[in-house]
Amino acid sequence: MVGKFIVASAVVTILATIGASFLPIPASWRGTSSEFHIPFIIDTLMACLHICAALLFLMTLGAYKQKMRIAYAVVSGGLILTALGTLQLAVLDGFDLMDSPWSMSGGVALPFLLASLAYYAGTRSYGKLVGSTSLFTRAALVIPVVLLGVVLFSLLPHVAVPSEIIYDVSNGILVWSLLLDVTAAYIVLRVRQRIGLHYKQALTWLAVALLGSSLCLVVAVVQGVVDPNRESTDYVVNILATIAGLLWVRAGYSFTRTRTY
Amino acid sequence: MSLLSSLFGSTKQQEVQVNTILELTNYAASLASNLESIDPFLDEVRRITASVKPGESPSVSDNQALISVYLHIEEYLITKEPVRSFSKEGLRAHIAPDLRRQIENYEVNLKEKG
Repeated sequence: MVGKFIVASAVVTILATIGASFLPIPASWRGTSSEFHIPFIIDTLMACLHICAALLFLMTLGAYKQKMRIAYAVVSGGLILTALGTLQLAVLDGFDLMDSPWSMSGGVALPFLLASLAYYAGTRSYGKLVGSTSLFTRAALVIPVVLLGVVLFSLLPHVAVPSEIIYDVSNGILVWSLLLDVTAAYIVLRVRQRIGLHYKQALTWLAVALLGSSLCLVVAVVQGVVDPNRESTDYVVNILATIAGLLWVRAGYSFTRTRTY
Repeated sequence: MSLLSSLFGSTKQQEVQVNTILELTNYAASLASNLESIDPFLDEVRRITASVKPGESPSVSDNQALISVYLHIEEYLITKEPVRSFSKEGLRAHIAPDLRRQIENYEVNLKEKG
């Protein structure tokens, strides 16, 4: 069944990606056709991969106890939020809606903020459930430290930008997500150390997926510092995010393998 | 399909059959989400594996001790495992018939002794 699901997801992903490449270009678009379509294609691919990964995690729920199901569901929720957040970016950018009230009020960042929080909350619950507690599973400590990191990062010197507040908020979101994803990966690796062999591969892939997402965020943060005006294209970040999506699918698939024993 | 296969391996679940009591205890231990909880039981397994020479099988008394360890781990998995639910039937489904009979005989003897 899982094999069929993977094949069906691959077909849907390919069809959605092809569909994205034929989207009509709005009259307001000022760039080239490829500048409009390529981000759409990559974002669609990334969103489909994250949704597929979320569904794979959810397929495994029946084998687990209530608290573990909640932990999985929270991580899956994070994946769906990442997918929706990515798709909205493509839509807002492509249809010239970056100046809309939703974007300007910071709502655009909400899915990503919550997604990283979900990854952390889900892996933290998992860690606590199997008795792998540490400073990193103490939310009352981790969240303030992450917020402090965001504030300190905003104080870093940088080249002139049109709007300081937008610059700080967008980088703050990236740093928030990066710190929470790395913390979640660390918790998963600690759980992996003490868990039985049956689950080790699944946890390895989960840690790899979180680190893949973190690598993408590191590049985005560096890009934000070096090239704050986004004069170069963001394709590197998008491609890394797509690879991270593939790693999430692999992690979800590994979890489906833990169902049977 | 080859890209999917190389990334995901075979999507068919392999049928495992456990033939020896040593394999069985290791298999049951691999299902625990917190190895520290079952570590005291595993000390006995370590003692036995350290004493058995390569190519030799554990003695009858060692086999009995390993069955006892397996039953402790099985009970832990069924009653205390925090992450997932296990059933006795499910856990024993992959045990080779001979070994399963040995375990059941051990349980009967244990009950008779009270």
